Amino acid sequence: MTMSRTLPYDPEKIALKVGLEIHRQLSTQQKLFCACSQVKEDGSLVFLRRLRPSQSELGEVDPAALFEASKSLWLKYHAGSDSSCLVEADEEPPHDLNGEALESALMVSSLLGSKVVDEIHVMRKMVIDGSNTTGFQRTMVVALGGAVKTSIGDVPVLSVTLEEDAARNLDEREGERDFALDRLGIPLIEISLAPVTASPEEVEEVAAAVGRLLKSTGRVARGLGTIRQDINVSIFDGPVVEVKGVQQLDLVAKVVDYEAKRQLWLVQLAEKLRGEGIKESDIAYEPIDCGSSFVNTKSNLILSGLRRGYKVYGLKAPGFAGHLSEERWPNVRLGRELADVARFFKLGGLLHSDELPAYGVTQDEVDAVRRRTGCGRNDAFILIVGEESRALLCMKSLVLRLKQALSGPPAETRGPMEDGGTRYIRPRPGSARMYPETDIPPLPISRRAVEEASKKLPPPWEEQVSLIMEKHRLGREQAEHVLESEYYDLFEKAVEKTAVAPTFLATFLTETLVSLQREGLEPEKASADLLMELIGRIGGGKLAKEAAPDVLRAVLSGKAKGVDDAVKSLNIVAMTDEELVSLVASVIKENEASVTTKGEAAFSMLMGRVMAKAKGRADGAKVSEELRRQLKQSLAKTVE
Amino acid sequence: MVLEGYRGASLKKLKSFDVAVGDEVRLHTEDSVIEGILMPRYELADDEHIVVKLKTGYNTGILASRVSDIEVLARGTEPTFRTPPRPKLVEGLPRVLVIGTGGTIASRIDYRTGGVKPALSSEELYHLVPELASVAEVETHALFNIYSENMTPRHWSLLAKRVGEAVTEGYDGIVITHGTDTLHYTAAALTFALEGLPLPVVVVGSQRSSDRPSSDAATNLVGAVRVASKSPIAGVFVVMHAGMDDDRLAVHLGVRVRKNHSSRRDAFQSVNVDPVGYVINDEVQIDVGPHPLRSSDSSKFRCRPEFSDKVALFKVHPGFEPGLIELAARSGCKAIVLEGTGLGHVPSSLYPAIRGAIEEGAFVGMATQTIWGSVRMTVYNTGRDLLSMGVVPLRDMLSEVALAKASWLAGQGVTAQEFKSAMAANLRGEISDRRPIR
Repeated sequence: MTMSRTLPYDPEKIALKVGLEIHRQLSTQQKLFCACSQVKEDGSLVFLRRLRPSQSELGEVDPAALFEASKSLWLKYHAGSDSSCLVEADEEPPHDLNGEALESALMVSSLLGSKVVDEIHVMRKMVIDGSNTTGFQRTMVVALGGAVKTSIGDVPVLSVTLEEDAARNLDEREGERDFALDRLGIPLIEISLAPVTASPEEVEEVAAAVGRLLKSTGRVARGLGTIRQDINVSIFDGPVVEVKGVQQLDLVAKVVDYEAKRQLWLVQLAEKLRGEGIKESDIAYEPIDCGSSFVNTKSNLILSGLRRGYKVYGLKAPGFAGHLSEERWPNVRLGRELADVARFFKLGGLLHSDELPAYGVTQDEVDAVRRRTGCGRNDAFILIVGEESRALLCMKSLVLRLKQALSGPPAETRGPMEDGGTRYIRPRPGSARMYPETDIPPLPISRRAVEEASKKLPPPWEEQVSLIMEKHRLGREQAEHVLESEYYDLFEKAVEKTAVAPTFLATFLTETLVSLQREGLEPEKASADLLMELIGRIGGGKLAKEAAPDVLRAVLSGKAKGVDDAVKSLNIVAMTDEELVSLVASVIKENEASVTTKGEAAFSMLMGRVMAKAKGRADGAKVSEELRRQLKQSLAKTVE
Repeated sequence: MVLEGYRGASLKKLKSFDVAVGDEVRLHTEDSVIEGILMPRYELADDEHIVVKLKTGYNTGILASRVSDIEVLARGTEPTFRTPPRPKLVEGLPRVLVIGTGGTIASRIDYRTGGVKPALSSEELYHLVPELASVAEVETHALFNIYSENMTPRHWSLLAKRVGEAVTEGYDGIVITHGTDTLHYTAAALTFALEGLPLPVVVVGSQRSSDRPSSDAATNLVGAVRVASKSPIAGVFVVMHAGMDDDRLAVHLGVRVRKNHSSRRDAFQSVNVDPVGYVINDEVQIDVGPHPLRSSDSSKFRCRPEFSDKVALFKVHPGFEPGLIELAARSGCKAIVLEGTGLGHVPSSLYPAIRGAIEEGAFVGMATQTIWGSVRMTVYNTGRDLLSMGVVPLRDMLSEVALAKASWLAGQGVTAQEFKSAMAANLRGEISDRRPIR
């Protein structure tokens, strides 16, 4: 195993273990348990439901779990007529398992060398946040074992699972959550890998390898939102932290690195705190109402809370002075962990003594809180503002979190942030609440079915790359990028339906979109239809391909509503042939001297000048052709 | 429970090793080793596979023929469902009796084995539906535990008797939990058997099994208990979802409701009339209308629980075999209810058989298979022909209600003439003179 020399830690020495779970939507005609199609639509039919947590979910010790479970939300489901039926609405039992999805799962299992089980049992996995109308997710193990070949060797596969995707979050307010049912029931394949000890970049490479393997089957959906990576991270065989929902491949390494650092810091901090003699019994649940110390405060957070009738609670963190803001790496500090707890309980925010006085809180107010909470020189305090019962529940969680700080990073579920950091989302669920889905009888799988499925596998990845290189005359690297791209389906469609050159398409869909992303735009927001329209225009000669990035930039930045709008506002309607002829003529005339002295060698300089004047309204190939023609003519005349 | 559900080849394989369901085992096949807990076998699955729950919680099936060895890693224990303690109730709550006939209204899951245990005692009900503790003081009686498609007139009798006793036991209302398939038949049957009811009797079920978080069971049950406690009117009612939303239940008159969808929560609909009321966001809203009011005086109450199973219901269709009607009459049917087409018609090929049945003393009544609307047999020749034979028009009574009514009248031992006039008359609101424009 190679190690990145730039890592401030040694993955092996800290026993960094990363377990990947890769979920990808399968591209099928129908959903997993009904005949609806995989189409995206918000839906106009709305109905209202409540889910009852099963009794074993209440009465948990963790106050955060109790809070989650007790939230009795109204769930508003939006159903569209093509993407949802009575099955999604939980008004009808599930239909038979989608054979196409099962076949895809068998194909993937075959590629991994995983052993398909003799009989598939569909299970119900409890999910009560509303993202499944039934209150559970239907999921099944299809195969066990196997391995994926990666740059760090063979990584063992734990299982290949087939399951339904959840409803799409639309909105969330106090007491209500809105979901769209279009995504509910779309088949997902999940590949769960054994934990590896490797550098963050190597882990990302493993995820990429799994991604390529899935894509090589030709059976997975492409596009952002069709893939989700869950990353389980632990160090020193400690508690496992689950980072759920990492959608972009290029965030994997960043997330693993952040987690390794965060967990390492928390281990080191725990040692420090213990070394300073702090014990769990020192940390007491004694929230002190400090509201009266802030009657005239300039802190917006506290003032607005008091005006709403909220409470301001202070808590002593004994011995923690200086340790809440202490950082070894940027953004990795205990204070941030505590702030996440407050965010979970939907409080406005959290303040702590290491960062005060600041944010409108004065030294006098700080002193007052210190007095009231009984803080000594080495003690820190935490301040939260919120509705009384919720703030007290939050305090209980904060006390728990402070106690956990003496041991190291706790097991929990976290979510990724755009910069690759992670933040606490909820407590780690207890062992999965699963029981058999009795509406679907067990499904025996014959060895014959497994063989038939593996015969349907397209050629392996390398071969597919070569095929693309040949078929479209692309270089190897470009062919690989295209095949791997989330826009591969679009590429093939555009090649088939338009006259646009594959080389341009490949560059546009891989490099151009990426560079737009680097500019801060969000190319994934451009729908496949929009891109096809753009490409179609180019193919039809109505738009120069050079103009494509500008058009897309205009749409993505909100300056134009669509392709038409962008073309109009940028004034880049393609030049007519007459305009092109006269433009080339005028440039040649302007540069008569160079033409005379350089002859044909003036071509590239002239080309540059024409293209600059064309401002994207002319296709480079056309310009080149016309320029060559006129240049030849012109030189012929000169000779005469 | 040792090797529950296993039979044939899989049972044989398991017996050759000393294993029982619930044991932690390690199975060896020629190409793998699988560890987990041995699970019971689903009774309708084949006899060739052995089911194991893996550590991840997933179940998987292994071909018994591929298993070469089974090691027992640890012995299993039976799942324990401890009865939870009774919660503290709010003072002065109404007293409601919940009679269970099947149709699980509440259940608990043992995730380890996947077993689902129905809640039968009131302690279990309160535990699973805690809101009940602020609505009523609930007592339970598990009378039977059958699928509702297996209900018979004999069950209706037993149920009516039990309800009859409860009426004089000081309850404020009675709730009956019931499978949804034939819930409307039972509701109708009870309405006839319980004459002069002074309090509400609410029949309730659930369309989605109660083990799942989305189940309508708890909402329906609480709604039913609310109606049983608070309804200003007396009688037999059905309370189920009014639509797809969870915030509204409909209260239907027991003799005016039908299951009109195989699976939806709002499958039950009032037919030819509006529901008598709703439970909206936990509030009972009932229109008193012409319905008898609830009363503490049960002197006018009579329980007449006798039913007969010598009744038949036929849905008539093109090419219907006349022999079926002859068979019904010959095998002693006291009443035949026909679901005719349209306004109450049958193919003329059935005339002789119908005439014959009436001559043999059977009652023949006509309802419509269109579900909505009333029969009106004076309009067309067919109808007039049937009337002249002695077929009795059942107006806008639902055919299922007519069957229950006929079963009850036959059980009461009335004369043929009394039978005819009673079937055609509106005894409990099952027939009306007018149908509103909708």
